[in-house]
Amino acid sequence: MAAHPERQYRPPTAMAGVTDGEVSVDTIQRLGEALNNYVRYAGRPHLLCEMFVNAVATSNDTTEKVVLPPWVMVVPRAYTQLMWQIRHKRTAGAGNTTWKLYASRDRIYDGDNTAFDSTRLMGAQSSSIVTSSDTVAISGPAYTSLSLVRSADNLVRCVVTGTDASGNSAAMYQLHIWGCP
Amino acid sequence: MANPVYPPFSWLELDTQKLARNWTQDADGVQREKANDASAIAALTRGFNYVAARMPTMRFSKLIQPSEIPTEGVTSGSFDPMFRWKTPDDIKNGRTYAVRMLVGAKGESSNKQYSNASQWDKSGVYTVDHNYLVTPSANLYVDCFVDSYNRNDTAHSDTWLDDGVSTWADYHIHSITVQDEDLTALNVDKHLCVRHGKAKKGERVLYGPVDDLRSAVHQFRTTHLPRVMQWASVSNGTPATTDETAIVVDGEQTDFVNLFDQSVNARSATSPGSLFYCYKAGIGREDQTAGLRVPIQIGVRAQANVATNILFIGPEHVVPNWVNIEVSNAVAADWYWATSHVYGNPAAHENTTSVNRNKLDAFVPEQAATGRTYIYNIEAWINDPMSVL
Repeated sequence: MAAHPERQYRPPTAMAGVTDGEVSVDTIQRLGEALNNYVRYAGRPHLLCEMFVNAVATSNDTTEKVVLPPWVMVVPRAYTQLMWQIRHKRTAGAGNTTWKLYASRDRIYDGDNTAFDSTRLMGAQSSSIVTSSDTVAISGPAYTSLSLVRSADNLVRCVVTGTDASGNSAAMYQLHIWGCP
Repeated sequence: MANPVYPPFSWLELDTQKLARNWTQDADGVQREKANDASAIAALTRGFNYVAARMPTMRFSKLIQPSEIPTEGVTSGSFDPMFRWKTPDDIKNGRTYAVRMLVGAKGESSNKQYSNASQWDKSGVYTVDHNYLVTPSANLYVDCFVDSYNRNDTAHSDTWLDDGVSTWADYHIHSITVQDEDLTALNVDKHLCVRHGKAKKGERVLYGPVDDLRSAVHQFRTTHLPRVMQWASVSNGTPATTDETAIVVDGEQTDFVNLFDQSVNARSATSPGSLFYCYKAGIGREDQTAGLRVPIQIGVRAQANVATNILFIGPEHVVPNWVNIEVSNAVAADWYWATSHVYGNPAAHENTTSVNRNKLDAFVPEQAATGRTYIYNIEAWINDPMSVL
């Protein structure tokens, strides 16, 4: 049996005046559940919350290119993955555009914009979201996840790229990233 | 550091069922009553200290596309913010936070040799000089570097912390994240932390030391919660239509106008709005109304030439679930706050795609023909869930 991370927080009652009394099993379990729930659910960090008023656009570029500036952030070690979700649509053509989120343990991306050079990143993991519809939509239904490989400082260096099919382009309007256990 | 408490490096799920249970079964099948192990307190304490030290809040983030780079820098000596943010400052946790920026010279063909950054709003302004020469290049991020500074926040004001960052001369910020420090040790004089004392094996575990833990867990769980929606302009502009310097709603509006796509005039499952995660983030039973309400506090920094409202609509598991923020007719931008809450939906899992999904939309509901509204900041954070019980 494990503690119940599924259960929402239920504040343990303070036992005023009985500090020399024995602590109840229930109090211990509720505190454990509260901490598990916080890490797994309630406190899951909203690491990136980007609402773009100027859409992030690709333009018929079949070469993988950097579409958003690289950034650095701390991802707590309680989270072994990033989960990300975008709002997006195809703006031209009939093919697909692939957006890719890279997370590196050591280096921020400092290579060419076009063509993106993944060898500039060390220990990088990546995951993709594909845009294949002319109607604006939120990716999913579930979030896309990316497993992290990290060094001891817990810093993660990220960058987002886009790759179009021939004659194709797409736009991204929102980018959200959370930690994920 | 005086009186350090060292949290564990990693988080381990707390299996308190093994550490505290009412009954156990002996080898001969006899049930007997059981109490707590002293190690349960130690495990909980380590767990809490990990959460307090090693789960830093992301206070602000922004990625600036090359097309959004301002053409004019702020002049020397001025600290008008390039980016501005507000975050809840209601936890006694004495945190320094780190501002991490990918910076470089402005534009692809810049040839300036002087750049500077400043931290806005404090007397101890952070400045740094970087002398570098940028070769004209189509590869904007090749000549960049990561710059960072720490900002002390030693008190909790029980209000909103106002901060920002400026640049001047040729220094430009491509991306910025503002995040609490990831601490390897907690200082008992400054940080929320717990010591587990000396509970000896085989002896009764008393309530006394547990109350510190209960109090700390409760304070943390009700104040240290993530953001829901955040948007900040790049500097402050007064453009005719929305761009990175302001969201603009211009002229007569007889229907709702979504701030992030003005052709959208109602909340739907897919309309523009900030996605957020608050599954199981309520307090109490999930099958009761109070347990299904995760309050979100919202503020905007805006300026309007005719008094107007900015309307926020949340998931539709409770109806109605909206709040209006009234923006006065004023000549300068100011912060305006919602006097009630929108509620997040703790029953909506990440697979939820209906109108009950956790998404917060922002609108100007209607506006007079002579009206023009500029929005410079939106801040929405999960607020104390106890406040709705």
